[in-house]
Amino acid sequence: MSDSNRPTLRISGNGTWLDFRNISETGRFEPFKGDRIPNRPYLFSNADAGYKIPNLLGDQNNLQLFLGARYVHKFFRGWESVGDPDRKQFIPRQLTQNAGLTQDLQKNELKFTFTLEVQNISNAKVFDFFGVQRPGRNFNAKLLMKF
Amino acid sequence: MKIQFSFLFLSAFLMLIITGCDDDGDNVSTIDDTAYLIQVETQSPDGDRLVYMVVLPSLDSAINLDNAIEFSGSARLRTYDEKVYIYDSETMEILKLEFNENDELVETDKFSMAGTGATFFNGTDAIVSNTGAVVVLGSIGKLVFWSPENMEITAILDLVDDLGLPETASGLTMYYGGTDASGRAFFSVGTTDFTGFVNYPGARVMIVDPDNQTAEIVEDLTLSQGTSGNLDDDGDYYFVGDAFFTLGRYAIPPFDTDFSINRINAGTNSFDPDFQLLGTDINDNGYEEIRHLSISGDRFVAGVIEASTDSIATWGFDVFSNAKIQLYTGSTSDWKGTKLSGQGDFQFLFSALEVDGDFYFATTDIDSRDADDFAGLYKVEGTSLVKVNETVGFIRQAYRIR
Repeated sequence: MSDSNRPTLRISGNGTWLDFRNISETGRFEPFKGDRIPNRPYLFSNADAGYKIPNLLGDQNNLQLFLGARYVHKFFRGWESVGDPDRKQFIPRQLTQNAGLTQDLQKNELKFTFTLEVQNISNAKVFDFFGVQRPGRNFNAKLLMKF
Repeated sequence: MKIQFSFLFLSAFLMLIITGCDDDGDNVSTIDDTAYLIQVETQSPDGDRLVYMVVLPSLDSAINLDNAIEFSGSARLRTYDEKVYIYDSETMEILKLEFNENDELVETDKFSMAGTGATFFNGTDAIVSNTGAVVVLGSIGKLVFWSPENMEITAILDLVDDLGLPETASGLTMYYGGTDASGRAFFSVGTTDFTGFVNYPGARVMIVDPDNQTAEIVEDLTLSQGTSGNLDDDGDYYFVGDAFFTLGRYAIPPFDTDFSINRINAGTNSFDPDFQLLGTDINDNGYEEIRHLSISGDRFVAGVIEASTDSIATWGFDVFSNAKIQLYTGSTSDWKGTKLSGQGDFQFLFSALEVDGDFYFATTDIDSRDADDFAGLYKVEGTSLVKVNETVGFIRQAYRIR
């Protein structure tokens, strides 16, 4: 049995920490020198795991199961040095998960790939970079046909 | 089975288990026997605005934002009967804050405006009693009455369906001008939406009675839109009519006679036909566009946008890019204005305030876009302007709470 015909577990991830700060020494932002630039995430990461089962429904018809998670640490909407720390507007920390499967099906010259995925499984409140709300739990199906 | 590990997965999973405690405290500020509320605005590099509410024992007390409550830039503050009400059109909520036994201002109640049509940046409001308040949603032509006591919506009026205004009446801008002794709130009515196009020409003043949940419109089609107004001690409402938009978006010289001050006498619901002041009646140079007219006793103050001939030849809102704001005071007996000494070339004028019988301007210097961006709260002393307070960001409003 060749390596490509073995079940494969894949795990990957990355993490990012940014120290993006205001260094203005004049102008309207000078009073906030040293603060993080507002409304931008500075600590975030994601991780993915996938399990591939080769040739499940025939030759070259692979099944891939995948799980993913994304984390964004809480960040302030305004300058962090201004205001009561307990009453500041912030984008809360966000942890979301997604899961799905992809099945390859090949028949003669036609090759299909089905993908089913559920994103934001826990239906968490999530936001974009500038506080724009993103979708809650959602289901996605994708069909790719090659010929 | 083969296992493949990509780089950094360990750090990623460690970060995924990071948790934080996001407690919401409610301790805000403490006060003395007298209390003033200052609203400060800051901006971030992406243009987002936030406002901060600070309670001070006097208007010249040092502003410390360390204990200030932060709100979105669309939050509007009103005070009534030692309570503070915040209408935040971003969250579509109205919050009530009261002093507790430790003289700390804390949130005690709130309700949602969701479902009324309220959206970001489309409202102004007035509170006339513990039971009567209104949010005017000019852009959708609705008046939302609510009770400060019970913190609930009590009625909704539609400018078109209930007051009989034409369909084009929605999309209006409204400017709260004050409340008379009988609890009627006066709003100057703009004729344009935020795109700047005329959709409802003619000047109107809307008089709203929040306690009885009624409203009426005073019309004068010979004037243009209203941009500002204020009541005097007798209950006469002075209304700044602006002809700028009747010319479309072009500003055509001479620009300095395009506005007028008009009056609705106390107890009547019509414009006084014998009272109209043009800019040249008030100052030999003529006022150009008045912003924030404020009246107390027999005195008035006004912020005036002055533009050179060169600058007014430009188009649309750019007309103001080369303009400066100058501050005037005078007597309502003759309405002759005197330019205040001690002022710079102001770029922004957030409000003209009357607090305890004294006039204040919340403004910022024309150089603020480049350096030394300290907003100022300026007090009118005679015919001079004296800076009494400043902080990081802009001071937008000041109120006496108690």
